[in-house]
Amino acid sequence: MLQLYRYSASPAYAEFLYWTSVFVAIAFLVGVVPRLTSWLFAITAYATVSRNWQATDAGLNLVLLLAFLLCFCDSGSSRLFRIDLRPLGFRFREIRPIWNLVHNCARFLIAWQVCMVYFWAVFYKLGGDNWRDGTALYYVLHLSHFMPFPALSSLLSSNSTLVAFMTYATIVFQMAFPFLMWNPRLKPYLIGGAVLLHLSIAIVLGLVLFSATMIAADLSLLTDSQMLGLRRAVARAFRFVTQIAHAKRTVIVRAPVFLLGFLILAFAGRGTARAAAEFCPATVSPVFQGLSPSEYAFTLGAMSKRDVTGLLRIQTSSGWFDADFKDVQLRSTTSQYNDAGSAFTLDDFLSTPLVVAFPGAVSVTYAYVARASTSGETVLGWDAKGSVWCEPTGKPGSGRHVGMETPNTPAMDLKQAINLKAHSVETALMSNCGDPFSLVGIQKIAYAQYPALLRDSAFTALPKGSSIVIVAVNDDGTVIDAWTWETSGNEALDAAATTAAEHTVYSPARAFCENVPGYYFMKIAWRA
Amino acid sequence: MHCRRVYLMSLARCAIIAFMAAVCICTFLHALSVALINSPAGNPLRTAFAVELRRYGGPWLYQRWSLFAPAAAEYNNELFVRGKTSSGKMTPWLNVSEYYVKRGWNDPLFREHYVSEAVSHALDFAFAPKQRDRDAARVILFNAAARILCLYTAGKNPNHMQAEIDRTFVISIPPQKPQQHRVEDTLLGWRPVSC
Repeated sequence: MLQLYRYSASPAYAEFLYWTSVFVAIAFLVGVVPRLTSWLFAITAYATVSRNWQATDAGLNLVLLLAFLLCFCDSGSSRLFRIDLRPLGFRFREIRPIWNLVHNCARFLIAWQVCMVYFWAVFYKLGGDNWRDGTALYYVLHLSHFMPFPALSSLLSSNSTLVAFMTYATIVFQMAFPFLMWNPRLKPYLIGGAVLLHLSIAIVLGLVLFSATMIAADLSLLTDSQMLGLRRAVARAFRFVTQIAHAKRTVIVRAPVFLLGFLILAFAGRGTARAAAEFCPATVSPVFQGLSPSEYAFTLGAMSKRDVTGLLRIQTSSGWFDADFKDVQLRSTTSQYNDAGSAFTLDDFLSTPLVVAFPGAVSVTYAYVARASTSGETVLGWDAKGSVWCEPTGKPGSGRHVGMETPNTPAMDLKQAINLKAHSVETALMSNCGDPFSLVGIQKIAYAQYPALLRDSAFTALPKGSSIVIVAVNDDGTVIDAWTWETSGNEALDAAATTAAEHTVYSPARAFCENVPGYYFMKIAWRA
Repeated sequence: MHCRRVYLMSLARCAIIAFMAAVCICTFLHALSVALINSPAGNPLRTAFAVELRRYGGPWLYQRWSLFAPAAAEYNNELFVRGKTSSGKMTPWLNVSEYYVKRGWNDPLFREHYVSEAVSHALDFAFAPKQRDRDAARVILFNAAARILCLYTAGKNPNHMQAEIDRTFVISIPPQKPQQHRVEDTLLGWRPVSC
């Protein structure tokens, strides 16, 4: 009966009811005839919540209960809106004691409800493994639904001692509150602690509405004199703040605040400059050709059309060399690829040959693009990133596609070559470690599942084939992107293969003893 | 006359005292009910009064889901959807959860905050023991998924959609071991959709 939204399905009625609820809530908050508005608030709150129970949380449950109990409390009307009923002949003297009793019982039940919330919360928490061994907050801080500030969540969960301390502190506080709260001397401090706890939940986990409900519920436990004392303390703090804002010490007081703010922003704003599936604006094709003992020809490639400017870094028998290139055009060419016997063509965006002249006779062992910037690149957003420093690719000789067989690139047309000069450089790259080079590896494979739709559909012959998925793996092993490299002929199979490739756990490629980004080619042979 | 007035006043006083006693008893019973309703299900005290408690507590006092107790949730739920057009072309997987959760953080005036709550509750209830809860959850998930699908595939007109719940479990805590994940995919099947 009280589910007011059910009386009509018209949107106008729902809007009217909604705004009436808002108005009633504000009126109750301000103190307009609370004996009436408290009941209206309870009814409209119940109507709103019962509209869709699935969209509610524990905070709304509590609000409903407290709204009901507040109807029996003397909430005190504001001076502006007090309605004086004495001229009408009401005599309150007789019912004053009854009203006092009802008010006090309702206040007791509100306090009891708050204590129940804390008591049963900790009671159930102690039945869970991860609360008992002090690790629960680690998991909580990793839930994506509660991460308004991911940097803050990962900072708080980075130290296991801190996590254990916070977990146990939460439990101890929630255990103590329901019992110690009834002691009038300890009550203000416990309520202060609870307010701080809920404020930190609101900030770190983003549970703003629930925390606000709990803070309101906790503060309602204060007595009138404690409330007035709180109001005085807030006024004092406000006066103190306005005083120091006008004092000469302003610069010294504000500077640390700005520094702290800057540090927080710098920490939170830390990001990586990587495009969707490319780690460098240009990479060197695996095939390079020695034209003479001091001249080598390289080809640059990328995944979309662009002009690149940058630095080619080349390892030779006589040390490292750099060759600057400017405004090299990468244009579309169709390349033939042969991967373990299956041949297919792809559109690549390659440059004309870059012929690098060395000061003397050398033997080139490895080359990679160390720095590059693009212009005219509109697909992946490289233009906006400006000049980017790139990491070496995972295996010498396979510069462009780590882990793939050497493609049969078209013979270099040297008539359109770009001539560059190499000069000797010092680099910090080293090879004197256990495994200086390795390809992207798989730590834990996610098995591809044959799409249920295809199996259950009315296809006469179930589709089969091989999907090859290319996965871009970052230098920390995380998957940046995965897409179909060679199709099996059926998009559903390709999509299932891509999903499996995305969910596989990889170990990053290594080059010159460091983890570097790379690609992994996953071939999935479908059998129906 | 005087006696009658005294009689009426003492009657009134008795009524007042009786009323106040009733209020106290109701308060005590309510407090006891709240305590029992929140106590672990199946305990003898609660089962002894299960019917009365259910009638008194109604939907208000019972809480059927838990997030941080007994064990803090150790996995992230994500809802994905993809569509299929009448010609058989498949759209890529779209992340429905990301839309609701991330937009909620980035847009303080996000008006669908409560849809986000409903979607995340439904992701939990999709694995509930009762069939009725699972069905209710699926309705919410399919509605949310259909909305996102139609929003992001405008012009492609998918006529079927498939939703999938991905749960990523955090298995171990660094720094003792490298962080491991275990992923469980739950396909929710194909359904017709009209955008």
